[in-house]
Amino acid sequence: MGHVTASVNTSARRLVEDANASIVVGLVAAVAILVPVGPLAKLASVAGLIVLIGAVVASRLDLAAASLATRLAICLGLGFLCFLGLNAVLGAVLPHLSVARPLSRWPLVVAWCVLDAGIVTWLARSGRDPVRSTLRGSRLRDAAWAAALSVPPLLALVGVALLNAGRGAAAADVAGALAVAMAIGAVVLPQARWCPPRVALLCSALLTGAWQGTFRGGWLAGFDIQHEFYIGTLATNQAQFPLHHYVDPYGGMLSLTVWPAALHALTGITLRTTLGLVPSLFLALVLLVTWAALRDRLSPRVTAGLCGLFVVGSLPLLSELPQVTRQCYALFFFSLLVLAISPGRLAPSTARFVAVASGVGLALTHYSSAYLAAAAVIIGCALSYLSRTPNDQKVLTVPVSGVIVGAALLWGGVVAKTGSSISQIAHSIRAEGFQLLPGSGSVLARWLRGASVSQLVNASVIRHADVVLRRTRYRQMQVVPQAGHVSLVNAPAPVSHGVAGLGPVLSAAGTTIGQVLLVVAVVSALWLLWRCWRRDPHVAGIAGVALFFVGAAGLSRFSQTIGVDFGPSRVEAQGYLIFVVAVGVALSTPAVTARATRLLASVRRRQLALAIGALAVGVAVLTSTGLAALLEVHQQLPAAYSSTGEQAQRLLAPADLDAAQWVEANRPERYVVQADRIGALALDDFGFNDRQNFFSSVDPIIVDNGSWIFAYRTNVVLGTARGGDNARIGVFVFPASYFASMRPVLYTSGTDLVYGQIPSVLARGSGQNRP
Amino acid sequence: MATDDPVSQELATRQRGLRPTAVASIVACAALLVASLGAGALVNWVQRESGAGPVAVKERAWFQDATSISHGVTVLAPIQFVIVPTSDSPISWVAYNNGKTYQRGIAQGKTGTDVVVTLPTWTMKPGSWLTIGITGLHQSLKAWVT
Repeated sequence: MGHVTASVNTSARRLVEDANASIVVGLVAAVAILVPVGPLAKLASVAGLIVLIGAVVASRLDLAAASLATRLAICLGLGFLCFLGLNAVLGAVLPHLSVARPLSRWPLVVAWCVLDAGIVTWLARSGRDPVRSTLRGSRLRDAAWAAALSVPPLLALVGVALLNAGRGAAAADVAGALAVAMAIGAVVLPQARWCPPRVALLCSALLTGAWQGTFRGGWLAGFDIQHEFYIGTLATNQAQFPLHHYVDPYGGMLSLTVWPAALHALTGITLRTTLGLVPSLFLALVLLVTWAALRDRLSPRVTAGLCGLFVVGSLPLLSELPQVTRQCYALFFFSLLVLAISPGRLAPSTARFVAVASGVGLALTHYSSAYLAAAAVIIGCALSYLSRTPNDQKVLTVPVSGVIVGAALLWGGVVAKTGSSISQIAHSIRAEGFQLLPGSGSVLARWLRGASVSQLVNASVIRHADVVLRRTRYRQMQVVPQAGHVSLVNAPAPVSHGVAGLGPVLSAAGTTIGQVLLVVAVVSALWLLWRCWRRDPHVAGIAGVALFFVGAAGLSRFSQTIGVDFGPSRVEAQGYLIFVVAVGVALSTPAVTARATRLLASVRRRQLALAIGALAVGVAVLTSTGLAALLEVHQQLPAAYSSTGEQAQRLLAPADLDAAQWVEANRPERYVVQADRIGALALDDFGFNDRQNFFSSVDPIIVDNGSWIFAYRTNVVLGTARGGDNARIGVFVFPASYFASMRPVLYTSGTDLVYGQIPSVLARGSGQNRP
Repeated sequence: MATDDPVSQELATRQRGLRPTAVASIVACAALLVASLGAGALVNWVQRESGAGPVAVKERAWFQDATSISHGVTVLAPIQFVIVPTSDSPISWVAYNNGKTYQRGIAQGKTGTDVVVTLPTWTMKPGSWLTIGITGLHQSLKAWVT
């Protein structure tokens, strides 16, 4: 028996070694596209195509000295860019050749199978195996660990499903705890053969944390993702690019149009699944790229520590970015750009090619990330020339920077037509100034508060703002006098009890770590600036880019005006990807290394440093996954672990979407619809974000007599509503009895209601109220 | 920019026989399809066992021609409302006008399909509310009779 097993093992090993891996990947992808049965086949189809194309393109680059992680990251980046670009070309060109819906199933199946067959034929004839070259150095053991580490993210999805079904938070709690444990494990595990790859542990932790949020409530959680769903629906239905009859920056981003349409066409994956799961996978790739950039210079433990603190421990990256899907794809390209410009083992010519490809990828996927990157690249390029980096080693040359900036401007200006969005920010700054450090309290308190885009405020603050709106922007509204008598009553949601003693310590530690990371990032950027000026011009590119992001992150946090349009947490997430590498480069400079070696000379000190590092990563990931909020006292209960609390009240259920769809089908665009801040999100799924006659307010003093009012689950069942703007949100009692006394009810589902307009006789009887 | 690494060169250009590649492809495809079908079945089983499967049909109701009814119901023409039942069992409804029972009835249809109910209005009192209570729904439909 043992002889037979050994013989089979030997045969299998020989088969794996002798087969052309690229051809196998190509054929598997083709079969998976033709027969997309089950989740793994769907994953293998598009992933196989991306890997195959990426490996073929990457085989033209000099990656001789690059690590496995770097090769893999570049392969996936180039493959994804080619996939997006080719589908966009097909979507734009084929309609002129009488293929009405080129991004639908059969046109794409034919196109990609033909391309796949062409590549496979070429590989068979030439004997080349670019996939094997890319994966050189990988071990079967690593693949087995990756498969095993896919369990915690899947457990996170089960936890979400159970929580949505009202079956308790035990699975979600376990998944969150596993995420924290894996992040700590990545730092403390010894360097041994039996240990899982640290980067795989971190990626699993990140995916687990990210997937705990996206499907909460039963639909998709978050603000931007709702309008993204609408754009994705348009793209999937129209199946071509650019979209017909749609002019909006969202419609010009391939991440929201071509990508979901092509995924749906090739694999049958629903748009909700694409938006809920795939962006987090790209965040895991961001981590892989960051790992690759750091690992070239630092030890595995230090690399894991920095990735744990700056990436997995980043609250915006884990909890907010999965709900802004376009930025996840852009951050992947941004991390590749950072990899290219960071001094490492990449040949300069390869680094330039990767930088250009990343710049183009950024432009195609998310315009504001691309604009920020372009501005940063200009600074990096200027610094490279000013510090006299040798020409043959310069990555951010004028042509490279020109292509990156040009791609951002050209795509953003001509295709995505972002002019109106940019002018809106300019208009806000002209009208309101920068509103630096708004609010009350000490400068430190206001600085710390500035990190949050949506602070909870008292309902009276919302009423005061609504009174101003009534007198200014909504002067033409017709409102019955009774509305003025309805007061907004605060409706505070349950908060965490926390653990006495531990809670305050954890809260203080989390805040301290966040601020220390920022300080370390700023110091590192300045240190690199000083170094590139004095003795090491190779770091000029990354010093310039880091310096720009210090300013951008600070401005978006200092200024409420910028923060409302350009969320500080989203800038922070992008900034951290450059900061972590800047810190890594600074730590690896000889001066710092020598000092660290002296400091950690004894075993005891090394163990102490390891314990402190692991503790810091643990606290950071506890905070980013939301678990810390359960332990802290009087914090908002995180929706990922709780069915109650302010965050849970913001979730949308499928029934809310049914009701919103009914409103969309029955309320013509010329008539007004109103809903509260969160109810408006359900309507955004059906394009209300683009409607002129749509206001997100249910404060009676700014609800027009002629409006229809959409009341979702939280309004109807829990009896609370939200008002305010992007910067401030107030929770108050939903004025259900007032609306019910004055208005018809046109739709009911037990959890959702649609109120009609006030009958004209009632409105006349009570007289019109104008300011 | 072509690679000059000898190992890569050797790996990239080594001529391999097509037979192992064909065998490996067939094995990989078969394994993928079997594993994928298994994973799909596992997902369905977990959903079923955990009670967290696809969302069931939810009962709801609305007025037909809601734009017109939002302005008010006239006594000149009957109105229609739609009920979406969650089971094949009959659902009772009661219409009230001017505080009194106006009409009652039973709607029956297949789960998740629209059941249209027609309600005559000619004896309703103008200047009063019409409310329609439906079994299973906490909130009634409501319209103003002009």
